[in-house]
Amino acid sequence: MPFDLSSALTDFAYAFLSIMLEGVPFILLGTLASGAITAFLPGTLLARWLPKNPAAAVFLSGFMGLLFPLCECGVVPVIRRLLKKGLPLACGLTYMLSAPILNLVVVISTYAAFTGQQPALMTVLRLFGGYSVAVIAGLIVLRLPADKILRPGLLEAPKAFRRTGLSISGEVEPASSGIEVEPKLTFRQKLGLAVNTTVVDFLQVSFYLAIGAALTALFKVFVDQSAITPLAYNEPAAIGTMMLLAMILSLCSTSDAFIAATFVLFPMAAKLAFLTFGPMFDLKLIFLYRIIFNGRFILWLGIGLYLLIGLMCWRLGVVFTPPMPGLSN
Amino acid sequence: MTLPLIKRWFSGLMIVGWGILLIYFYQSGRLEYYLAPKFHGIVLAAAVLAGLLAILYLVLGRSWICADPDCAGCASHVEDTRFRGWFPLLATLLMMTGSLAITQDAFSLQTVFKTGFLDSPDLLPMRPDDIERETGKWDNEPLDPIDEAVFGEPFEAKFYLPRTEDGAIRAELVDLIFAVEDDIMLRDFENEDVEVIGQFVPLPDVDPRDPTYKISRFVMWCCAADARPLAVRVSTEAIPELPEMGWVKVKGKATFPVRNGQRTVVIEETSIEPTEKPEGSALY
Repeated sequence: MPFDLSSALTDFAYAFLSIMLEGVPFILLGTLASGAITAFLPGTLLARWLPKNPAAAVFLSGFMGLLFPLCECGVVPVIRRLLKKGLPLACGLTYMLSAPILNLVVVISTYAAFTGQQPALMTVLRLFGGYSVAVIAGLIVLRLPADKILRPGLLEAPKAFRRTGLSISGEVEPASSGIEVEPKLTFRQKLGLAVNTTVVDFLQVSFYLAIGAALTALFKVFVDQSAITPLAYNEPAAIGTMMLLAMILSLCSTSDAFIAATFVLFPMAAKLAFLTFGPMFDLKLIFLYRIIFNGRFILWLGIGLYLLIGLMCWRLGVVFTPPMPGLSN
Repeated sequence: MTLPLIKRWFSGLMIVGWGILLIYFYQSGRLEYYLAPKFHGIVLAAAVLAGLLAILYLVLGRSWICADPDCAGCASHVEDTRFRGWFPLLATLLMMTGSLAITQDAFSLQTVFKTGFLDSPDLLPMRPDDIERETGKWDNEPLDPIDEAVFGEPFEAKFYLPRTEDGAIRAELVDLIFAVEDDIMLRDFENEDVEVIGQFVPLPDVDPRDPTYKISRFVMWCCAADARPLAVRVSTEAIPELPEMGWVKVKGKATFPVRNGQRTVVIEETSIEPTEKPEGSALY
């Protein structure tokens, strides 16, 4: 069939708009939360809640998605504001990576989507994989200097809210530096601050979403998806391919299981990799992460997650029963 | 009017624009071509929130800025949250307006072929045999004798499948595809006259001895970007000259031949005619 550019453009517009219409409401909710955090959340609250032991704080942060469920689009502006409020970077990263997977909506949708394809096992492994990878990433970040990770603007987060040991800056701050500096604002001023923060965050994040949506729409329109089918028959290749596909498709974690379930030719381990890697690192997230992290860290985060999740899913693949004979061709 | 004030109004209007866009898509019904129904509610909620946010943004002004000369550096001193760059605002605006101007609310045949068809029950999630395995229900045993007691005869498809005036079963493409692997559904449809609605898909390489085309309907999980086309093959005497991806109503006999060791579904067409785009054009 000869390639028709005008059809490709209208199809691109259709796919692009559909992703924007799906993502923007969640981004708005996320940025409303980020505005509320900026204006109303006392800076020392997080430090009081988290365990003093840095590693324990990271382990606990992996479960924060159960209390504050957010999808991957909504969680990014929230994390930025939480970091500015003094949430330790390692904890923020752990929450950011785990929240899109470790929440009730994802549990239900994954179980429903995989009906007939070992749904309980897939759901449990997805939760386990998402949590484990997020915690491992958090523990690694715990040992890295903040200036190698954060964008310059975020490095100026109020150090007064950080606590020794949990700060990944490498600078051991004296205990006496924990001075609480809270805005002396009236409610009206706080509301104004929350609204302004929400608007600014929303406009910024929706721009990054638009770039990611555009790239995803380009893939939909220009790439023949049947080209990846031959890779389904080699498990490591299938895992790697499905993770790349998850990155390109940039699906919402609340619904991506329904897409993964349709790739019946691919082994279960590859679907698990798709469901674990996608919510942590996809095209739109690469651009969204730019509001928090520097480019170099995003690159290494992507490579690290790709390798870690790939290896983990390859090893976990043995726990799935082999595909049914009827599905193998 | 100063530049910061212009930026402020522009930012506020962008939020208003998002609210109007979301409410327009929701209210006009166009949203169903873009998003699965489970997302419609949140679109409406976001539209309302965007409106409220824009009002608050423009009304509250910059009253939140801390004016305390003794302040040691609170959040509103440390950070001026005005949006600084014009480029992201204009780029987002351009991409959105450009897409809105050219979108057709549907994919062309070109993208349909690139996406690939879901034309076998193996390719669909939630297949009947999966449900059977999971729940222990939906087995292929004969139906409960109660059916016979209630209806005076075995419970047959004619009682529960909707039909046209001329007696053809009004079927969905997905039913026919599932019937390939489900004996009960197969019994209902095999060699029965069916009427199905879908989009006309002419195939690039047609065997002149066995002219066939496909009718297709998208199944959508989240949004149009992840939608994939279901398709059923239709056997005919001559390929009709109809616009590709146009909506058609096909009548014919549902058959389930075995090809290359696998059962498949083929409609032996008796008539095809253009029809209106159905309400809820995608399957969710």
